[in-house]
Amino acid sequence: MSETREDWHAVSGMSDLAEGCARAVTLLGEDIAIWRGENGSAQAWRNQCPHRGMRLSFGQVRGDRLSCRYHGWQYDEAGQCKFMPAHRNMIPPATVCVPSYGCREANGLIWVKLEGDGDASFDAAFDDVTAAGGLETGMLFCKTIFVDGSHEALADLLVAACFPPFARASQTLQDGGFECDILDHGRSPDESHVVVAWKRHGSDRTFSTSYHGQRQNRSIIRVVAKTEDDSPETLVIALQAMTDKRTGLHLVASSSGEAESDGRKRLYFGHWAQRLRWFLENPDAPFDGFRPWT
Amino acid sequence: MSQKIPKEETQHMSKELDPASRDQWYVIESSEDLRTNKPRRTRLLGRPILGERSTSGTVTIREQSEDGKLLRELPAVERYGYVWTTLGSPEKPLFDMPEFEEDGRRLVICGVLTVRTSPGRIVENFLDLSHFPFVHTDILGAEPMTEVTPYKAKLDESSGELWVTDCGFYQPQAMAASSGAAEVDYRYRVPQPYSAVLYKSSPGKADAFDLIGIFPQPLEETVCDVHCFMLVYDDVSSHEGMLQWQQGIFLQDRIILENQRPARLPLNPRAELPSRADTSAIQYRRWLKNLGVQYGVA
Repeated sequence: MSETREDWHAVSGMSDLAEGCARAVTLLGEDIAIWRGENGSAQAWRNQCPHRGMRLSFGQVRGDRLSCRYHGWQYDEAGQCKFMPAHRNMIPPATVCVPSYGCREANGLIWVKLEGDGDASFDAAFDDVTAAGGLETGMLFCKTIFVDGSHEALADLLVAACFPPFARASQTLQDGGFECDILDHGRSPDESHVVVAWKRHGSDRTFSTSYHGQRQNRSIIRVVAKTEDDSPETLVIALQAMTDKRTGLHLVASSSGEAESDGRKRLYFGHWAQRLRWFLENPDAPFDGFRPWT
Repeated sequence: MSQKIPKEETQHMSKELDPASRDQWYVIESSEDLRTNKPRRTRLLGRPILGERSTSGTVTIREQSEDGKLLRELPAVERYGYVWTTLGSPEKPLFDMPEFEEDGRRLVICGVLTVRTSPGRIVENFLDLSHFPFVHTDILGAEPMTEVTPYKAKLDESSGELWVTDCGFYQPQAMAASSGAAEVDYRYRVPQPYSAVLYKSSPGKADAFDLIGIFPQPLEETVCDVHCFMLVYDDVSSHEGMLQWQQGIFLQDRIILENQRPARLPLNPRAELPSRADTSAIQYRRWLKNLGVQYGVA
């Protein structure tokens, strides 16, 4: 996995790291503390206090500093130790500093890279993606799930997948649920996308949805679903390669810009993500649609 | 107590033990809990161990193979309320604790707590003063009284023991029997690398010291059963009250201990950055390094 250390990886939804919070995430086998000061942006650090190795994700945020849970050493947002409570009048030496990683917030997600210089490469990395329409401003963070399987194997499955229907995400719940039966599915004649015929429980009307899945880069998959005459629905799945056996999937969808509609969409993809997980962990099981979840 | 040991932690079992770890005395059970017909199946430094008490009261301790065959018999010593053994040939008998002969003291065996870290991390945390206000908030310390005043840590050449002396700390609830906050005097004795005892001002008797001791039993390099006792002047606290006080503190430490990285104690002086308040840890790590301790260290 070494070549991916210079890539940007999503590690959390922005809204899943509230002000004043710290927690641990795993990326490429490394234990990382992410935290957010009371008015600040997200930081990503090596999850180890330089003093006695305590995991800093257990620390307390105090204002714009992170305070280690063990001895209360306080670090500013640059990772520099500013206060050692056992020596209240001493200025900590500059050598007491926590190694930090590149960390940016965009498209509803927190992105981290383990090696290489930070800011310039972020814009470069996402230029292609943005140009291709994969990540846009105003994306709505919906859900994170954790799945057994390697990042590479899951990416292949996701691109080739016959997706569980997610068209009309903003409307289906309003219509009384989204339980549906898959009537037929398969690749389009030119192999470029997947077509699914489906119908909702309690309705005779059938729909046809086409899914265009595309890998934007090593860790981002973009799927556009088009149902008949509806406007297309975009879903981006950002992969977090935690270990060789475990991967985080961060789902962001195109935002309507309207709170109630976005709320419904978030709820919809929250449920949908659980089904996606089952599908990814059981790729050989017969895909016969979804059972009602009431 | 049955232990689930992750596979990678049992892979070093056949590894040769360093003499400094092998030749120490280790507690494998309290005397009161090793009863006739109630054998203790456990591990010590990665080896399976079986401790038994016969109907006549004699304790036998044997090393076993991984598949349960009985191998050699090991030394067995009962003292201070505990059953001790060793896998090697210690130069010295089990260390003396004359306080156990003193009238008016109460011995409280505080039980066993399994902690997933190395014995060195456990002892070092036990010697640490500056974590009190943050880990044992409003019991053993409280902000803003966080300053650690200079103290001494010294290897006593004649006894070969590490002593940490002249420690003082402001404590809101220093012992189970404490009635309020007090400036408490501390000193620590580390008679062998993986045993430690502290002496702190007794709320029950003027100018006397209460003892609290920990005897980590390394099951594997980064898994220990920690045996803990108190030997105190206290006629007021209930047995349960004292257990509760001690176990509450210990559980607060366990959160820390199981989340230090690496779990093995780093002996390279540049691996972690100490401050002056860590004089005891600096001396402790240096001592372990000079003794050639390999087990549970990085």
